[in-house]
Amino acid sequence: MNLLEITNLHASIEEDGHEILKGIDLVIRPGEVHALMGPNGSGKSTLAHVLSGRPGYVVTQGSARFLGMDLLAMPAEMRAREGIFLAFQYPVEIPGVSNTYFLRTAVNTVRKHRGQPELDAIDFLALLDEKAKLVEMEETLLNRSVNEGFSGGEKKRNEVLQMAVLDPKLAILDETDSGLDIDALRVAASGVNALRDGARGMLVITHYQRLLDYIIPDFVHVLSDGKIVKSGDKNLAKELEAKGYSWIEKEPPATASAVAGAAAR
Amino acid sequence: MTRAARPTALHEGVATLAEAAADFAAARHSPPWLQKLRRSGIAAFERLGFPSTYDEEWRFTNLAPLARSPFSLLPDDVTLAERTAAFELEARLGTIGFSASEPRLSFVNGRLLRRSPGDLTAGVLFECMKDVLATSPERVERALVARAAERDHSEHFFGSLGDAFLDEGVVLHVPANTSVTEPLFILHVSTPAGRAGAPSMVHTRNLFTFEENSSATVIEAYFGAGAPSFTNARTEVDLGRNARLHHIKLQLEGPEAFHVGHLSVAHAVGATSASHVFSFGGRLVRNEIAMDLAGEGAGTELYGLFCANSGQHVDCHTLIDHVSPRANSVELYKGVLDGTGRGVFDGKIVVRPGAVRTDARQTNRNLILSDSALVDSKPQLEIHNNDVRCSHGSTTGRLDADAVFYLRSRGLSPEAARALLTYAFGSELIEKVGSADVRAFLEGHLRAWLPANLAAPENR
Ligand SMILES: Nc1ncnc2c1ncn2[C@@H]1O[C@H](COP(=O)(O)OP(=O)(O)O)[C@@H](O)[C@H]1O
Ligand SMILES: [Mg+2]
Repeated sequence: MNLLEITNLHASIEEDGHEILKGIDLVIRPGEVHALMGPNGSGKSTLAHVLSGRPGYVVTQGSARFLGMDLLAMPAEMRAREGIFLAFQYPVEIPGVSNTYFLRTAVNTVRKHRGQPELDAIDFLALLDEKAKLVEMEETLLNRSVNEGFSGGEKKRNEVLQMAVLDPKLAILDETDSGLDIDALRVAASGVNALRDGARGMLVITHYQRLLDYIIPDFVHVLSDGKIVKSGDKNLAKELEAKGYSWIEKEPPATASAVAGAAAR
Repeated sequence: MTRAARPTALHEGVATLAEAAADFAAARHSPPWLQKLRRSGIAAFERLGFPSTYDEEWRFTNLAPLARSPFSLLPDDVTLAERTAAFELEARLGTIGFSASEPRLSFVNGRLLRRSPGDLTAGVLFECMKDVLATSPERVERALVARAAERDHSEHFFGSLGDAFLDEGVVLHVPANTSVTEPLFILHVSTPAGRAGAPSMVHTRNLFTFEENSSATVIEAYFGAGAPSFTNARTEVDLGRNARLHHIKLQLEGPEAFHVGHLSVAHAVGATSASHVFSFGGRLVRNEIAMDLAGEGAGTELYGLFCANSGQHVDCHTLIDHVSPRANSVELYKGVLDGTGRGVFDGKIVVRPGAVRTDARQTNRNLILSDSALVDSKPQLEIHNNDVRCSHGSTTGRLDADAVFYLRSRGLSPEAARALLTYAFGSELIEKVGSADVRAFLEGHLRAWLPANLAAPENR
């Protein structure tokens, strides 16, 4: 069965009705890593948000199925419990909630949903310790409030850590590379690579080809003005890097309106 | 101050109270000074009347529901029903105040239930007001009379009411150079009295004297089963040079309770205090704190967490009076309002002309969990010299929608996410408490307060 199957997905901003996603088609099978690239404002984060159930968007057309389930009918927490994980482009700071407590609550909520026994403090800390090593996360960060006062790199590593601990079936990584220096990027990427296991699917959103030197995708898609305008293998990313996004935006088969929309930015 | 517009309910309430107070005073055999103090208390509260919302200090708190409700003063003897109910409620406090080493005085509906001497540090006196008034009233005469005289000038209705019914409470004396290691625990339990008649009213007076270089932690807990009751509690503290007071107040009387509490602390040179208030609501609750930083280099920290749900009103009033140079004050109050709950924060900082080098910081943050909850925040700075560092800030808002979504995206239900964020908001104040037992108790209490009190889950 396909992990994720998106068909002709249109979505708008709830507040003003402005359409951002204008007909997305995408299939991710188990074990596949897909990269989603595209200029700023093309709708990459919007797609990630709509898939993870963030309030504030309306789907006006199309569908998204996750392991055959109607994803769009599920509240955000059910999607997470069923195995969708979003690594946020801008992780949220939560003062007063310790990272460890938060993760343990999340893990046990998900385990309960899956019919697994909850982890006690000792088993959980063992798991956390193992995964923290994967992303080279210092212990002090685990005891601090979630993301509070974390550097940009620490926040992104914290996202990868959460992904490792929650063990999702489909991980969506929204610009996990942005704002990272090359060392931090390598750490984050090796954390992600350690989670490639032939079953887990990944949608790696990035603006730059750089990350894809470390996380080698099976497929690359280019989003422009709310549509996937080009798909290919990892070489497409290299080509993009060399020629720039303007190359894609000038290419057919993008529609006239898509080109105009992209050029306006 | 205008009196003309006072509603009739406030008038009638006063007349009933004055009758009860006169009966009470007539029935007690007391030294003349005490009888005089009670009589002038009656005269003062009759003259003042219940404050109305036209009084600036009571603008956001309407006392009509209290004035309208009949309450009776219970006879001295504690019934079996009261005793049984009180022991059950005491048990809910769990570990706090129950270790054998902790000195404790427990009261039920204002009368002594039991005393556990614990390991009271040598020289420290921790006694019932009633005993002191019966055996050696001269020990408290000066302090009580002086405070009452001050009160007459400040026109404090509930203070005068407390004078009129002066009878029971706690007298604490900490000698010089003495550090009391065990927290001193004062527990008030209100229960149905098991008698016919109106619910009980309690007027209790605590008098603490700390000689120089002494220190102690005092925990006052007001517990109830949720039945109607009226508690008028007043704690007056004198801190000598370099003395240190930790004061923790737990107000947990339940949704039907009326509670008016007042803590005032006079600080000598170098004296410091920390006050922690945890107020979990009632029909009408008022928590007043007045910190008089009279001595040079004195300091005070004020922390408060107040929570109110539907049908409840919690008003927190604080006054920090910077009188002398180089005194510090830090204040953080947080309110959590749900349902139709109402909260008030009124925090005044006065910096007198002579109080140079004052450092005063005040923060009030309120969290609103429902569309019908409301909080009035009134921070006030009155600064009368230029050589000061003062800041204050007040914010009122909802839970952060991004944070709620972040938690949901990790699998937490909207209810769990909101509960966790609300808990995190309140727990900052719990973390400031020194005693691990009290922290653990409050963590449990705040958690228990949450789920039932969270508004309907957001739309999915
Ligand atoms: N909540 C929102 N309210 C208004 N506009 C939004 C909102 N979210 C996204 N947009 C707009 O949608 C477009 C796509 O944004 P986004 O999905 O963040 O792009 P990308 O991640 O590709 O940079 C942008 O023009 C952005 O301004
Ligand atoms: Mg984005």
